[in-house]
This record gives sequence, C-alpha cells and structure tokens, in this order.
Amino acid sequence: MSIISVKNLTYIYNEDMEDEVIALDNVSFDVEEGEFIALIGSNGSGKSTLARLLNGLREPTMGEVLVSGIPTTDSKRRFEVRKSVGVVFQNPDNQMVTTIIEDDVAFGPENLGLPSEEINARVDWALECVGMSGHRKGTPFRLSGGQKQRIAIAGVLAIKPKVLVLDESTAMLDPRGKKEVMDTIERIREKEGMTVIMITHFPEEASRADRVIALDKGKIVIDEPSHTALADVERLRSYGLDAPLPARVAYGLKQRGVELGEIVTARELAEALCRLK
Amino acid sequence: MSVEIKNLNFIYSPKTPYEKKALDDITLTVEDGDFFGIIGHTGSGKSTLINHLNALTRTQPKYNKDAVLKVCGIDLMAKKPDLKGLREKVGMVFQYPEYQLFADTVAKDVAYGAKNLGLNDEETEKRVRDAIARVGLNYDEIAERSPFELSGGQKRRVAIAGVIVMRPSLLILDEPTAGLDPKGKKEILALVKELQKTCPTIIMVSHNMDEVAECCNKVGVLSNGKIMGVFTPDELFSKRALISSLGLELPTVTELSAFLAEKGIDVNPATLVERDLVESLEWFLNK
Repeated sequence: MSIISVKNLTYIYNEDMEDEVIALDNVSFDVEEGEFIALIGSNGSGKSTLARLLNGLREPTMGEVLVSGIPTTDSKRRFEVRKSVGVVFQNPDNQMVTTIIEDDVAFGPENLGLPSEEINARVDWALECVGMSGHRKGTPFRLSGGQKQRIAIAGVLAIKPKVLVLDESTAMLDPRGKKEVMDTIERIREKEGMTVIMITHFPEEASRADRVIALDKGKIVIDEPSHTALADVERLRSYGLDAPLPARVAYGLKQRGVELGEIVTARELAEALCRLK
Repeated sequence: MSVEIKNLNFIYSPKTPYEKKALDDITLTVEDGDFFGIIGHTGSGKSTLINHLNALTRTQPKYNKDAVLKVCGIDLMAKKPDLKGLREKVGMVFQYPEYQLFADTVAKDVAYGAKNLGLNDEETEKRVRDAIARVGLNYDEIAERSPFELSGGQKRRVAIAGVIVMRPSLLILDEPTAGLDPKGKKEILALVKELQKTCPTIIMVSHNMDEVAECCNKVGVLSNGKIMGVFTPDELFSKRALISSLGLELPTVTELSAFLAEKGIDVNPATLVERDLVESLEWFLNK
C-alpha cells in the first residue's frame, strides 16, 4: 500500500461563489515509503493547498487523500492521519509555541499523551536529528532563522511522522540557513529513511529529490524522476519555473547549436564539455 | 553624493547584558547614480544601516561624537534634522512589502504616500497612474481591485508603486525578490533595473549573489557591524577567501565557472553572468 495516495483530488476555494478558485483540478499520484519528492510550481499553482490536504488540514472538494489507506476525511481516525504526516511551514516565527526550546519540541508528543520518559527521549532524538542538542534549554527567539526552522522540524519529528512535508521551509532563510535546513533534511533521510515531500521554488533544492512533481494551474504537468524533469529547461519555463544553472547553460549552448544531452549537475556539464573537446 | 557616512556607530540595548554593537565605525559613500548592493550574513548590521538612511532608527549622539550621516543633502547628525524632507527623498521598500498593503483598493493603497506629501487630488491621481504603470501593471484593470486578491508578484508591485509614487531620489530595497517564484523574481529584478531610469540612485540589500552580480555597480560588505570594504562585483567575487570567511556565497554562475575551470575547461573562473558563461563555453568549444 502506498503511504499516501491522492485520487482525483479537486479543491475549490469559495465554491459556487463569484470569486470561486479551482486550486487543485483532478490531481492523482501515489507516494511510496522512503521516497523523496520535490513539489514545484509557480505561485498560485496549488502547491500549498495540496500540502494542507495531505494531512487533513483541509478536506477535498472532490476526490480523496488516503494516508496509509485512511481517508483524511475520516473524522474518527483524523488523529492517526495527523500523526502520520507532519508539515513544516514557511515562516519559522509562526511555528514557535513556547519560550523554551525543549518545551517547543515536546509540544507535539505531549499532545499525543505519551509518558514523560518517552517525551524526553523523543525530544533528545529530534534535537539530535536537526543538530540542535546544545540548545535544549535555550529560547527560540534568540536563534537565527535557519536554527528556528530546524527547531520547527524537530517539533514535527518528535511526533514520529511517516511523512515529512516541507512547505517552502527555506524560502525566508539566508543562504546559510537554507543550507542548514537542506543538510538536516538529507541527514534525516539517510538516518531515518523518512518519506519527504518538499515544496520549493529553488531548482537546486529540487535536484536533491528522487522525483519531481510540477503543478500548473492546479493540474499535475510533470511527474518524473528528478533528473529528466529538471533537465528540460524549455518545458519548465513554459510553466514559469526554472531549471538548475548547469541545465540552463547546456540549454544556452544548445540554442547556439551545441548539443550536450541531458544535463542537470555541474559534473555532468563538465564531463559533456570535455567529451566534445 | 546621495549618502555620506563617516564613523557611524549604533548600539542596541546599551549597558545591559544584551548590549550589541550593530554598527561599528561605518564609513561609506553612495554616489548619485550608483546601484549599490549591501551584503552580509544575517545579523551583520544591514537592516540597522538602512534604517538609519531614512531615520527610522535615529542616531545615538552619545556614541557618535565625530560621526557624519548625510542622506540626500540632509544632515542627520544635526540637532533637528529635516525628517519630513528626508522621507520625501528616500523611498524605502521593506522585505515582504506586500505585508504592508492595507487599503481596500489598489489605487487608495498606492495613493497613501502621495496624499501624505500634501498633494492635491488631481496631482495624486496623476502620480498614482504613473506609479502603477511604472511597476508594469495596468491601471484600468487593477486600480479598483482589492490588493489582497492579487498574486504574490502583483502585490509586491503594488507595494513598490506605493513607494515610488512619492518620487524619491534615493530608493532603498531590502531583499526585493525574497519569497517569489522564479518567474516573479525575474520580473521584479527587471522592474528594479527599469526603475533606475527614473530614480537613478538605488541601494539594494540582498542575500542573492546572482542578483547582486547582475544589478550592482558597487557592493558594500558588512560583517559584525563593520564594513569590510566596497568593491565592484568583479573585484568582490574574485576574492573567494573573503567571501567564504564571511559565510557568504559566490554567485551560482561564478561557482559553476570555477568548477568548470578546475576540470580543465578554459573559462574565466570568476564569470558573473549566465550569458557570459554560455558565450565563453561556446568560444571554448569552437576554439
């Protein structure tokens, strides 16, 4: 069974009103355990709406979302769904709930009603995962953006979700903070084998995923292994998206009559150039 | 010159355990016509510095005995500086400026600053039309709509229009493309360059080195409240050791060209702009 199964999902804001917006239009895809998916799309393409449907923060207008086979609309089992899919949002400041870091991370497991030793162990583990163990007794408000976002991730990890959804979680961070968060995600994937769905505008971040799903005007327009998805500069641009720089350079050369093949990384570009020379 | 700063200091929470020297003996000049970039890691003093330029942060006379701070000819170290005059001349576009939209129509929102200059209705409307056109929006389509129903990129344009409606002679932009999608980023960047035609002096704070390399003719580098130097982008991004010691990054184009050069491909390892890299690779292949 797929860990997440999205079937003919449609979501409409202000249905049947003058300002009706179809945010998602008959979207279907499955997520298998351990996958690392980058979800891309221009502003207004429906990405964030989709993130909020994956753990039942919003309910489908039509179609369904199944988490380990449980429909997100099943109100009796909503707790199981929310426990399985943890979402980290864009603005770190909006995700801090307490004044002490360990309390903040403990907030989720406390609400699961776990015994205090287990909560403690989870806080230790979650802070370790994001590389913030040394800050346990500190306050979130004196941290940098990247550090705050790592605490927000720890707070979600402490619930031990099966799937981690990151909704543009690096967008408001400086380059150092972006790198901290991306490295943290890779570490969690390596150590815990967690399923990750990452919404991002940055093609370099998307290239770290195994699979890329692109949305345009509420529809899935690309669902491919990340390499083929990110090498196709022209198609990405037609949806207002961008490719990683090496792919753009290869495309620039192609337009000048030099064909280098499918390029995404700097290494591939260097090798292709050396081959031609 | 637009901005003249000498020996400027600023201390947050002085004489408390949280005391922090945010600006430490800053000396810096921005000439008329400069597109001046300010870079530095988070907490390096960028925001404190630009907040001084339109007196949102007031100077601390106690710590600035020999300091000079003149912006658009107005002496901000004077006992009673002409703040009204200053704010007419210095337009400030904050980070995520769309959060500051407040009126129920785009036209009213953009008009707010112009009205506060004391302009009459006729002149205000003329300026609002002009500002909306200059940010690339269609007045007739958008003027009576709520700013809150626009897309992210459009909201940001409206917010910028609300600043340029005052026709500032110095425009300060704090991370103008942050949080936008790639298309929105490109559009706002093109807009900012276009704005330089009518507001010739621009100061831009940015973490995005690609944008700094593309737009700026000078770049001031801040670290821990100190100015580490003012460079042209060419000079700056050839100083790899300085860049990495300050926790900053190179433009992605420079990063890639350096990598290719290391692999034995004959390109300038300090190329700044994508188009130049493509051209030199074409030259390399045909050589």
